[in-house]
Amino acid sequence: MKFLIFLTGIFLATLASANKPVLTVYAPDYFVSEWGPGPSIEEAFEKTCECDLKFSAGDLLPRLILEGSSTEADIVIGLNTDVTKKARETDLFAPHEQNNEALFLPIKWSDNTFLPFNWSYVSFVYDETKISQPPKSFDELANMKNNKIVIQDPRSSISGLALVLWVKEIYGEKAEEYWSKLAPNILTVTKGWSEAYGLFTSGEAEMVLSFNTSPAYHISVEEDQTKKAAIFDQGHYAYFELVGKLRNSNQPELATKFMQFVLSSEFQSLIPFTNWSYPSAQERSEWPEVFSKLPYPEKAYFVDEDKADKMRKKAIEEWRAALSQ
Amino acid sequence: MARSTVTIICSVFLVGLLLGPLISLINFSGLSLSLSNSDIAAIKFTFVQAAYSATLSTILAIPVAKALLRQNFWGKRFVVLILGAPFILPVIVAVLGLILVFGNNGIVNNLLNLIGLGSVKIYGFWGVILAHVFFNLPLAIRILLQALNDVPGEHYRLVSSLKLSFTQNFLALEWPVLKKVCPGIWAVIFAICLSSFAVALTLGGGPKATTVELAIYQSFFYDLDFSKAAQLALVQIVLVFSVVVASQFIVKPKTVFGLDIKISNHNLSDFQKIIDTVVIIITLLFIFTPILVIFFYGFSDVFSLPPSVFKAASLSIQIAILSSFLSVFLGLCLATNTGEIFGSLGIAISPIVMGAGTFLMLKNFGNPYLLAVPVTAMVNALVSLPFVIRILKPSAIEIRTEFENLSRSVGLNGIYWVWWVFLRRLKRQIGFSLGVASALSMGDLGVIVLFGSGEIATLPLKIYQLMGSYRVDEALASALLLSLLAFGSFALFDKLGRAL
Repeated sequence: MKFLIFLTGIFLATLASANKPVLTVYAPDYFVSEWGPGPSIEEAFEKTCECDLKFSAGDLLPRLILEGSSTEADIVIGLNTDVTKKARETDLFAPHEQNNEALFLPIKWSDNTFLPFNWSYVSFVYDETKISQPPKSFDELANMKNNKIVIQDPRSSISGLALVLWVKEIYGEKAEEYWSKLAPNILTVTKGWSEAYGLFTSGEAEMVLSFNTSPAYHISVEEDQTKKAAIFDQGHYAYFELVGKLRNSNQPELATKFMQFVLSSEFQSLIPFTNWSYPSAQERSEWPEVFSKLPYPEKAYFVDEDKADKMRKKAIEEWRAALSQ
Repeated sequence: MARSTVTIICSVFLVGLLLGPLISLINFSGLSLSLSNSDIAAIKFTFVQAAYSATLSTILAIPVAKALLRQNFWGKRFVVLILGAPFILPVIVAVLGLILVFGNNGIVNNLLNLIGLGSVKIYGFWGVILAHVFFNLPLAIRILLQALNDVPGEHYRLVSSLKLSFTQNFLALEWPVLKKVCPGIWAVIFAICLSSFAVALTLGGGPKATTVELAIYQSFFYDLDFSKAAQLALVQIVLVFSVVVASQFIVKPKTVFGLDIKISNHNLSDFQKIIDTVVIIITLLFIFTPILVIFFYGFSDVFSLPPSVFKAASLSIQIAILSSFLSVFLGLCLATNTGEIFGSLGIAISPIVMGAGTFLMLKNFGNPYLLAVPVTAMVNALVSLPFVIRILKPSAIEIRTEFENLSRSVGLNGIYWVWWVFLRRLKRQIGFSLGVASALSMGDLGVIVLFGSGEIATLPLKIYQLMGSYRVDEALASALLLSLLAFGSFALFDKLGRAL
């Protein structure tokens, strides 16, 4: 008898989930994996939405472009500011319909298509046991002796591109000259963030291009206080991750509900300890202590997409030329 | 008649599989026609590093192969067997291992520091060469050793009885063999290194070390300039394919049959013995330290890996089995001289472009994501096909010439001939090639990156995920698991081929 009840239960459960509408969310690999924010976000949203949230992992924009208007995505999460121009040009996105005033960011946000859900400052993270006097500016970074940095390739990594734009903003016409000065201190250039950070944690380099929030991982998971972000007086490039809603979504109401959910305190509170970055719609006082205590720069650099698009080609070519010497 | 029909059908099928995706990508995005400075720099670098890698691997293989030929020692057979390891070692694992040994904080530099010497630099041009030599030197040694072994022992006896000088000895015995085999070895390694991707990624040290495949990756995933990706893919095909075709004309291996007399080493001088021993020891250290280091670092965490890693491992195994059988099936159909030329296209074509193109083709017929696993298996199969054909072809041709007429005269034809004569006589090579193909597939990151959805992840993809979530220790443990699976599947198939 019990067995029958059990069977009926299973049957009803399958029936219920089969009848639930499905919200398809495209997200990057790291986001969806069990170590990223995906699983807890899915659980929290499904509690309220009477729906089945399905993540689909992969490279977001190449996929969207190949799929075109026949894409199954309702939501795309994990884009960043450097690709929004191309994402916008696909004409696949709808307005986010949320109030940008709800955001707490170091810059004013006015984009009505892409909504930031987390952010941090691009920074050089170092090992305190090896560098006692961290550089306080790009010039000091280039003048370091015996300390090596790992950076990411701006042609294949978002953080790598952020660095190139950051340097270009500060040095302008002299950017190429600066790269030539920095070149001897660069141990290697990796394809993406993971390879670079792996080289840093395995002791290959004393410093790595990452985010000012990275030390929070070492502090809270590994109880390791020795990883710090070097804060530059010149200011840091601010890095935002974005979410967007698809125009052709066949679940428009659910998609809107998800966009609202992104700004909810439940979603925002999940961000710090799963994505190791600042939440976008909470004040500093609401952040977990590990995060609110992290050192941060006075000034934030941000290059909007049109400007970034104009700068990019030249900035990357200068970087390439200087580092190819 | 029947056989050439099979070859033709398979060649056409294969060319369709390989070029169809490229054409559909060009159809979708157009084809870029101009080459930028950085494209030209990438093509140049690709050529130069492949030439250095091939030349160094080939030259270094000569003393090692000679030493292994001359010296008989306990465990020699095992040493020769295990020389195959780097070739089937997943690239991502090998790069991690090389960094742990030759990196800034690696064993070698720590030792050099200890005795107060300078340091070696693994990042940059020479890092890429080092990694390529690591992968290909063992391959070169094995091919060369095989060729030197085929010189009948009588020749050695004759030459030693003539009391020739060192140079005369070399000219009489070894030079003819080297002249015959080395250009082929060089060409194979050159072609493999032309399409190298993952090695240059981490060890390249900067934009100077951008290979064509890396440039394809950048234009596809990042610049989203598919027409540029298609153009570079085309450039790569032309580069690799011309090398492969050229090598077909250079290499004409011919076996001289002797009486199988073992070469004795009693008349070697002590000095030569010492040199040989040193050469063998250095080679073994170079090849096995990076592998052993991964075992050492990864071992403690293997058993505490999360279930999702084992789930990914099981998917990788399934793909490897599917892909190796597909590859060997195609390999058997194409085990002729013409077939080899077409089969070699597999190393020429960019997996990224193949994946994207296949996606576009499948999109017209339904949901391509449902086909993620078979598509990944197929692409992996095509990538290992050139190696599979290389293993199968010589024996396949031999069996055909030796047994075909005899079989025909007793009325053994068609499918019966294939089953009773061809496959039976080839079983060792089939086992060996299934082993190689499954191991290569296991370690391949492949097109799953493009097709993967939340639930579908292979083990190499999982390693990247772990590395992307600050979990380096677990990534190393997973890398060890990946190597064990690759070696395990190789050993299993190879053994089956010998036992059955």
